[in-house]
Amino acid sequence: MKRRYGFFPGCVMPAKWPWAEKAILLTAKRLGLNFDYLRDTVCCARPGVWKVLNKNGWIALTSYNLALAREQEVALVDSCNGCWLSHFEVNELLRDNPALLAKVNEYLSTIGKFYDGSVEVKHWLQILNEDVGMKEIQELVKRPLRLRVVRHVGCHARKLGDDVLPRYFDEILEALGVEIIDTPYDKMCCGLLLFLADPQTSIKKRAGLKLKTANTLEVDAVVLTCSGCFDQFSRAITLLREEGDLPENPPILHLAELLALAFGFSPSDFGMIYNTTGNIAKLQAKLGK
Amino acid sequence: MSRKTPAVEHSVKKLLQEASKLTVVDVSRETLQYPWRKEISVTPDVLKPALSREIRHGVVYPINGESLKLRQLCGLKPEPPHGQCSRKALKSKLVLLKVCRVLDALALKEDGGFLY
Repeated sequence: MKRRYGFFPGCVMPAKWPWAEKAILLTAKRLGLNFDYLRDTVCCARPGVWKVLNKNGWIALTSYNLALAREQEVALVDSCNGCWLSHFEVNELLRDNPALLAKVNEYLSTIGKFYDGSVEVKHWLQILNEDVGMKEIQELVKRPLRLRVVRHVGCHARKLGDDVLPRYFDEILEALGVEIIDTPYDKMCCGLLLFLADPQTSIKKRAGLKLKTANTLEVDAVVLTCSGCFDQFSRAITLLREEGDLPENPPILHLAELLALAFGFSPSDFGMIYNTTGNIAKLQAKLGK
Repeated sequence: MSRKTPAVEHSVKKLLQEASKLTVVDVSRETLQYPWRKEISVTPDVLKPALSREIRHGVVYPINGESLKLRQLCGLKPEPPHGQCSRKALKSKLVLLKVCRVLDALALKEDGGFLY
């Protein structure tokens, strides 16, 4: 029987990045995956906030989603690095610590749930690279994308080292025919968490710096998978545009959008045309050549 | 006038310290290029809107009218079918926060307000 995946879109993607959500669903179907939403979930809970403010609460809330995945008999899939980090880290903590698992089950029992540490937590990049494979992805490419992009893998995606998720990210881009342009700031954070403490630095010295670098390099897009990073980049674009400090910038795209385009979907098939983070028309014109 | 317990002040200070650590990945490169790492002074107020929203709606970014429209335009069901904002999910979340004593620890009310 094919493995079943329960997709956890988090809270940013459904509210602010629906074209990315649609692209993930469309490409999962094209790849023949048994892929649907994980149902009745709560927030991930945000590792950068809850883990520090109240570790107990972070573990309990995150365990609830893991318990749902167990009930629904799916591997839990995240595209957002923050959501993935919470689910992954809590799952590892519970697997390594039977006493903690017992404590969590005390909490979960108050809402009729149970968890046993059995769920597999996977980043969307792992599904593509480990479960599908580059060969199959390449076979589905109908339109190699002759684009130059800067990629922002995101801090939390480096949790397992640069040879796992960051390498998967690059391999997928290469499979689609995309040219990756390195920058000195590739490993620098988007500044999302820093925004809570120092908005100016977070916008100007993090996301803004990355966007201006992308401009200088004249790339076609900035590509990412993390909803938290998208939130931060889109906020930076809005604020810098208001200040007249960013006349233009390449659009911010989810890697699934590029996957969908390479698989032959048009931008209107998944709503990419509603992306206002950058000049989509220019990108479309280049793709049309 | 607001009153903050030492526990809340401590949590916020810890959060900010962690946030600045989590934000920097390549510390060696970062320090070389940006000699601006500094003490950050922030009040708990910065956290209140996000935490209040999350307790009230169950998520940090609830789906609003504009999101509903965009979702439809993208060919998605307007309400997220995964039920993340459902009453059932929110109720479960609140129960968990209560049994873990998180609401007490963070001085949060069930409706997303703050006790002080």
